[in-house]
Amino acid sequence: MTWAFIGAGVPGGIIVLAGILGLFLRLREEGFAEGVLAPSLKLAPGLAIVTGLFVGGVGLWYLNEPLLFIIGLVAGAVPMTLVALGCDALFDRLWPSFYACVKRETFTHFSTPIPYFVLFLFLILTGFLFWATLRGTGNVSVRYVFMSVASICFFLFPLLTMGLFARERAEGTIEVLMTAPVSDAAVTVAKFLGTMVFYLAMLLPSLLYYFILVEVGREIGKPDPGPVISAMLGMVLIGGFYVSLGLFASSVTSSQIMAAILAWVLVILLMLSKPIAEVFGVTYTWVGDILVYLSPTDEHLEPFLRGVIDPRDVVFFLSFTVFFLFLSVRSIESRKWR
Amino acid sequence: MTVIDLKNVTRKFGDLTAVRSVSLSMEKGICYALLGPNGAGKTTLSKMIGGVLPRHEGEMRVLGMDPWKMQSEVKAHLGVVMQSDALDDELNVLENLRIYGLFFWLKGRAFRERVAELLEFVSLTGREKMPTQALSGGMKRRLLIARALLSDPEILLLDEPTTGLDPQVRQVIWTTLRKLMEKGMTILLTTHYMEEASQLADRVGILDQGQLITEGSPTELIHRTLPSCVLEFDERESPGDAAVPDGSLVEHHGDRVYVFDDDETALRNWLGEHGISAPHLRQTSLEDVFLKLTGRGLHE
Ligand SMILES: Nc1ncnc2c1ncn2[C@@H]1O[C@H](COP(=O)(O)OP(=O)(O)OP(=O)(O)O)[C@@H](O)[C@H]1O
Ligand SMILES: [Mg+2]
Repeated sequence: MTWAFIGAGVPGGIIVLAGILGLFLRLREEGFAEGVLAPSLKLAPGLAIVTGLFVGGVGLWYLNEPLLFIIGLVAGAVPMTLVALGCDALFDRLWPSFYACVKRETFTHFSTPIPYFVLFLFLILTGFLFWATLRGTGNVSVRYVFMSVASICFFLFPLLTMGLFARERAEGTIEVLMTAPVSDAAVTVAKFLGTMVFYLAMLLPSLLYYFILVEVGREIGKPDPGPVISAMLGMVLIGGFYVSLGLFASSVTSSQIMAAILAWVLVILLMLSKPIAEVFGVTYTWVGDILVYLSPTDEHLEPFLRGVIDPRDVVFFLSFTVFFLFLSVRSIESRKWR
Repeated sequence: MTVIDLKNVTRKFGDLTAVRSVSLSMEKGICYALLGPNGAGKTTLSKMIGGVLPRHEGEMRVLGMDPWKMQSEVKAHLGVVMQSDALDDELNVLENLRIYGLFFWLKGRAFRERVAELLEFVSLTGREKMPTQALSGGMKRRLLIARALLSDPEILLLDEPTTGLDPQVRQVIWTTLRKLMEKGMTILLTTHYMEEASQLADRVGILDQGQLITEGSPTELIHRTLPSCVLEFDERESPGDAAVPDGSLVEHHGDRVYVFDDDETALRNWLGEHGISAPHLRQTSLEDVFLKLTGRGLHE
């Protein structure tokens, strides 16, 4: 239980403090009514309710503790609201015009139903997988949980990213960005970060599985907290990879459907690169080496889930993320010349 | 002071040359109207001035800067209203302004004061909480103008600010623009409406198939192109082009005949001789100039 307390308490405490500071700054700047009704709060309750219900629901379901439901609800909702407010106020001060872009992404894009649908699906699917395996085998490893989370991500991410540029083009709102004094690169990075914020909010509740494992593990041996930290890092990295890839897919077309399909095709090709190498019998040639190296989940995420943080894997994800962001910027710029 | 200066600017889309070697310059504090039929290249030209699109050839200076190479700097001094109503539909009026204001570091009390002032200016006070989806076309356009003014720009670019709006709203927008001109704002607007150009503009440029075919003040353009009076009547009543008074100019647009002459009495006398019913005798307008110069057929 001590690990559980430290694991939840330290980040939780930091979040709450940052949130209170942010709330304070925002209220001082805007006045009470404006501050509380700021657009940042539009996103916060949505996230808070979903997270709260999820955290609380899982508590009720697995541990059969009605009290945990209430605690979970509050424990999920309060930090989420505070995170939203805190980040909002802090970034606002540090980096106003770039942050305006990020904010626009987070709030306009996520005021649409699709991301909430994705969040809902994500929580349901991961929860179900976790529950089913726990039921089936009585034992679930951290590794298994995150592997299933990662495969669900691959499936859901194109839905999150398809609209980033394509929808704005189709609806003409891209002109808002075109006439604002921000560069294409800033817009692209802002769209990336806006989606990452949402992804992190989506990912955070899956930490809960760990605490459940700790609870369950009292009978069958405790899970090690090390892999959880490395797995979380791996999930963030592969998330960045998927988001930047989806962003690129969205930057080359005006159709959301096309953007989603292109993203899926790219990801599937990358994921299948290892089997492709085997099918073509090039496994131990240099072509095969490259193909195997390109496989994001098998080759580069797997070590994180085992608790191994290899700098080469970190470099793989970061360099691909930067590469796709670069491609997106180029694709937006080149469109203007045609 | 010259604030916008273009020399031989050309822009292509594939094989199509949308803007062909356009040169024009604009002084500070004037209102310049770019007239042109659909597809003439008005939007393309104003996007290039706004740093939104690059050009393929030519030189361009906006406030002394190259609008493509120094995009952010130029955009920071421009207020732009694009042809499409580019508003974030999920957000309400105030939030749309708030997000855009952030691009210019405008927030807190400064933002609130500026917004109150601007909404009043475009007669949208009290609509702060309305979702932009619920706004009428005229309100949207006024909101866009307010948003373009948020940063207190030096130049306002308006791409067809009154197309598709009813006459009352059009008047409201014209009044708004006139007030801005009194305060010394430099305005570049594109339009299909001759009336808009003659009501607002100090200078007019006519763009046709990507080329700037003429330029000058509205009266100058009229005097340069056509005689000062025109007699307009139905083609079916025409006694034939050969029958018009000496020195008059005849034009046919659709099923109307236009006879231009500087001598109004001569036209009146001629009218009496030929017994044409329902004639229309009036001063030559910018519209006549436009039709004469861009031809009457469709270019598409
Ligand atoms: N992104 C683009 N790709 C290809 N062709 C384009 C593009 N934008 C404009 N064009 C073409 O360039 C020409 C000029 O277009 P532009 O939009 O500048 O005309 P306009 O004068 O603004 O017309 P309108 O009055 O209809 O708004 C048109 O023939 C148009 O089809
Ligand atoms: Mg146009």
